[in-house]
Amino acid sequence: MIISTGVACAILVGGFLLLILIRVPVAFALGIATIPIVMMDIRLTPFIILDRMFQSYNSFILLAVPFFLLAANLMNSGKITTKLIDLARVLTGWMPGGLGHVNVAVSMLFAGISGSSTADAAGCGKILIPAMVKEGYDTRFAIAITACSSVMGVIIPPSILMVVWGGVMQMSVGALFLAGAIPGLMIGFALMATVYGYAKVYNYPIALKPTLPEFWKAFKGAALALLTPVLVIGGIVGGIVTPTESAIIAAAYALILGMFVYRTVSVKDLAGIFYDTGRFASISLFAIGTASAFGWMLAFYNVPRLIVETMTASEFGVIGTSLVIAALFLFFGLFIDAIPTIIILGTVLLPVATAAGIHPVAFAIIGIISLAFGLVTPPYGLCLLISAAIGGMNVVSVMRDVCIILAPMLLILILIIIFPEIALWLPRTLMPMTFK
Amino acid sequence: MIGRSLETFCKGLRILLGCLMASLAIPVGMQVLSRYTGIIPTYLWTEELATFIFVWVVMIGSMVAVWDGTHFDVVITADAKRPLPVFIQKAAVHCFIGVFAVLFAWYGIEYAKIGSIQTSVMLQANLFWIYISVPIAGFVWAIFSSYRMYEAFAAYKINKRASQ
Repeated sequence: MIISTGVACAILVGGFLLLILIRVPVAFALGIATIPIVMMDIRLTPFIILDRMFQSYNSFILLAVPFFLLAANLMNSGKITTKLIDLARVLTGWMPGGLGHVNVAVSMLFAGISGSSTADAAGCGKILIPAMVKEGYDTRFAIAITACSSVMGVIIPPSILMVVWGGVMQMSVGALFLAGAIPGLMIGFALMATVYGYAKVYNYPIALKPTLPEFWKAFKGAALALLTPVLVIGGIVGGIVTPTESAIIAAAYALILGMFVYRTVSVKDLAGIFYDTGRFASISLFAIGTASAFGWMLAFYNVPRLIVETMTASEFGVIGTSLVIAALFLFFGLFIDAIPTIIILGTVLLPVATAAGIHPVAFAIIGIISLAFGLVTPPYGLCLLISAAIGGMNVVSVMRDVCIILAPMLLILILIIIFPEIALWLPRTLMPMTFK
Repeated sequence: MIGRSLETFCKGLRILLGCLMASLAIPVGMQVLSRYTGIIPTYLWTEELATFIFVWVVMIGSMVAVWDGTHFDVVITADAKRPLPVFIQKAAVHCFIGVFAVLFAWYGIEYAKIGSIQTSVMLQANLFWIYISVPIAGFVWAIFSSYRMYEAFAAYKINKRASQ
């Protein structure tokens, strides 16, 4: 039999939702939802699913993902994170809400080096959540600010999500990296303003201003680590290295710092670091295969074309369409990991954005920031789950603080939707030849 | 006995995963070194080798994650309290993974046969050695999820007895 678009959509989406409702892992749910259609439609064979999955792994650019994760794991194991925290402490720790600002500032520094939000939440959270609680901060606030600030990991370059986005949508990763810089910094400053508000309301402690020698010592300790963004972003934007090459350079640099400069990573530690990286990377990347099969099937039944037609007929305009796109990414980000969402929803919505006249890079930044919210919103907020586990609290009990902290971030997303030049100005200025 | 054997097997997979992840750095590192330093000549096969190792890393990692139960799931509904609903939920999850795994293994064998008649462009390697990761992954998922289902049933029996 030949299945119609409506029936195919109902089976794919309905089946997927039913499967995740009974807690089938997302990666498998995406694959299993395609089985009934493959078995029923005479135009399809299971080999198509296997081949789509397999070909999605056959991508050199995706190799950047495990290497950025390796760099982040090496930084956490090599105490580089501790050095970044020391620097953040002298830079911001003296402001009202000291350790809250340190938490945000170190996430900004970490984001500029690693590209992984979960590694940020795990690495910084382990040190800062207990420290904040010890200094009298509310545990719920400590968890919420750690989780929310860690999302900058995927917005401030380098970013694993931008590498995947660039690879899947055939876009310049360098342009995406540059486009994420200003929105990422804006989110960072918005978070610091929220911390300031909390400090005033709850009378959180203020530390003494650092002396110049203290500042110099902390800067010297973190200076070598701070060279990583120069190597990674400078290399990609300058057209010197590919994203995958920049990722391995970042990992090699973190390895040299950990093993030979700070001498905090031993050969014995490396086995565990490689295994942990492989384990976490493969879990995320396996979902790419099943998401690709799922996304291919939606495209086979012309779902993207129907969505484009519907949205075009609705005449939402640029801002309206951008808001709908952000809402869809926010909604899907609640339930699915960001990488499969990019593959399924990103590819479906790209023609919608193009038809509405949204710049592809602005579309990418709107999508990535919206997906970043999903990292701290249940039921699939990985950064929130990690931070809550470190703080020893239930996710639900910290939701009030998460919502308060997310509000200014949401405002920045809306600002970017209304004024996309916020994201586009930097790549337009620094990459005029490749960026149009 | 079976559980211990499978745990030992999974330990082997974990070691293999760590080794493959470490070896992944070699071809990509060679590519960077040859391009920017000239210390070693430019090899065209490094990119191909890296993607082949990458495929195996993903497949072996997915097998380990089925055994460890670390594939990400979404908790929307509250946890069941009584033994039977707990067992039904767990059994349903492993059953679905098992069905997917069996199909993956079954059609994967044919897929690997297709790979065996192809050769990679740069390495001139028989693609069977890459495509075979598909049926192997399916086979291992099926075994792991079956054992986890058996464990869920055993836990159900114990909990049922305890609640009576």
